[in-house]
Amino acid sequence: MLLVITLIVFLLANLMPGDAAMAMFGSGDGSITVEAIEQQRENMGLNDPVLVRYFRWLGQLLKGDLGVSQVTFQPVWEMIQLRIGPTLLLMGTSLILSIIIGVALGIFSAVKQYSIADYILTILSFIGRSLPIFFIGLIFVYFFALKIPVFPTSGMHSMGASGFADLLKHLFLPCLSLSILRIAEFMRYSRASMLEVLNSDYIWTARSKGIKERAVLIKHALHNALIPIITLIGINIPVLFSGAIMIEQVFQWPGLGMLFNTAVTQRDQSLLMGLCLFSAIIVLVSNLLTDIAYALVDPRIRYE
Amino acid sequence: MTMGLFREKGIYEGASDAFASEGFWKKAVQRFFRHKLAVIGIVLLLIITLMSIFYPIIRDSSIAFEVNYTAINASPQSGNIMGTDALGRDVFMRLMLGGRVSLSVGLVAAICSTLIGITLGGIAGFFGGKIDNLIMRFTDTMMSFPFLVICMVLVSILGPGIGNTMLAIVLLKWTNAARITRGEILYIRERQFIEADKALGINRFKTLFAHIIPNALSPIIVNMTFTMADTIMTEASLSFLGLGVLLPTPTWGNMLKDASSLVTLSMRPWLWIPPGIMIALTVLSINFVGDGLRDALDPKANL
Repeated sequence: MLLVITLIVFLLANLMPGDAAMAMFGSGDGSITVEAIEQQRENMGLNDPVLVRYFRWLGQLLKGDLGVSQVTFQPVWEMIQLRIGPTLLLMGTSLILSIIIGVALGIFSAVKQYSIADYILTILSFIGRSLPIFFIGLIFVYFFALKIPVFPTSGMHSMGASGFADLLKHLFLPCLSLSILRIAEFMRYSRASMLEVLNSDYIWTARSKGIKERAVLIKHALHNALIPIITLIGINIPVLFSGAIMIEQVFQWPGLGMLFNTAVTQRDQSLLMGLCLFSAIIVLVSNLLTDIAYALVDPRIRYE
Repeated sequence: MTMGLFREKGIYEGASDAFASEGFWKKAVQRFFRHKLAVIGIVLLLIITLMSIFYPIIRDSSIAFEVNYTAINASPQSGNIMGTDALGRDVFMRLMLGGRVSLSVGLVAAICSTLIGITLGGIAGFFGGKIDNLIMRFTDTMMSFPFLVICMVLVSILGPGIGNTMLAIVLLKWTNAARITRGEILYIRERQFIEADKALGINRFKTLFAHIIPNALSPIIVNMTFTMADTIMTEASLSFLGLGVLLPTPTWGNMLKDASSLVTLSMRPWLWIPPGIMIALTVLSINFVGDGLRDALDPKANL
């Protein structure tokens, strides 16, 4: 599987128009001859057949070397390392926020099924899922950073300041915009999951035993309703990453998403390959963790 | 419970080939129109579609392209319904033309990717074995990239433009349809009316296209609706990042891109709020329709 991923990443990156030799001379003044570019290609081994180049790249990869950026000439791995922190911070806080709010609202709405609150929440979750994430970001900037200047518009720190409070202030809007869609999603699933549990036989048994409604909900229903939510976390991580690309662009948040945007616009092939590979690995690892968590929580599931 | 009872008595099995018959669709239409949100969705969608088709025909659409320096950045209070942009182009007309792009990209890409998905999923589910393994492994691999990541890479390979954006989305969006089709087929294949086909010696392809796929259609149609909503969102995102459809062709995504300048964002909200609202409204109504379709076509699903 990983091998196929590396192959796809490599082929896609190599299909991009332009190559490293061209990129190196890209900002030149026009005095570069075709021969010079050709010479550079030969030196960099770009004239070798695709398969040879693929295996050379793969060999480097196994040694943990992602190559060197063709635009900034920094090692790709160093560039990625520098940006992981901000992205993880953004994605992590947003995931936690959306799980807490989404699941709470979903369960509330399931318990009060068919009430006005349930109806309004359901419609709101529909609207939440239909808003383009970058539009939410722009609206937040417009209202909470420009019209009522409570929060900064972009970046991770103010000039010169580096305190925790300052970081939190910068994090708030991007994190909230990234979360709205996820909150809606978690709400919808936890509502459905809770409803299913509430309609099951053992809840009726618990009720007919005379257990208080509150205890039925918390002790009997909640635990079982939460199990499917774990799968949802795994599914949401790649989506969250896609969202982070948009949000980081809107808020100029210096994370992997912005790095990816620059890599695409500058056609920086080795950086692109590194980032694609990295994001695919994140997805695979999160899927694996989800499976493990699922098996731990639900004793009915066993893997051979 | 009742389903199990029917299945035991053979009634459900016998009736299931009628799943794709007239009675089923008639009931589905009735169920769909009882769904309030779905009706709201379809009405909204119809209004948006009709307006973006006919408004540029009724009024001269050149006001969306011609640079008019006498009326730049006019606010909506002036003669133009939604004001004009930095080049004096009519925002409302651009909005309607953008609607054409968004809706057609959404529709075409959703249909094409669903067709690819049905074909691949159908082959995998029907033949099983090594072919199934190969196709599904490939599908899994495609799904292990964050969607926007791989889509941005593909669009930058293919280059910008409406056609290329559609193509990129089609090449990547078929995975869900393939998975659903395969799952449905694995389930249907074991049912009795397929065995009857085998006993009668009917050609395998005829069984696949005439009997299996029509029965698997409900979840596929529902999935296609949601794919269309996704696709419209993806196109807007790509255009917003400057990768999808480029100017001068107006799309909702690249109209929103104007808001990346702080002056536009703070001083001229009529330039970027309307396209955002249009995307949201369109996607919302498609989601409503999809939800209604799911309730109408697939009563078993309870989401």
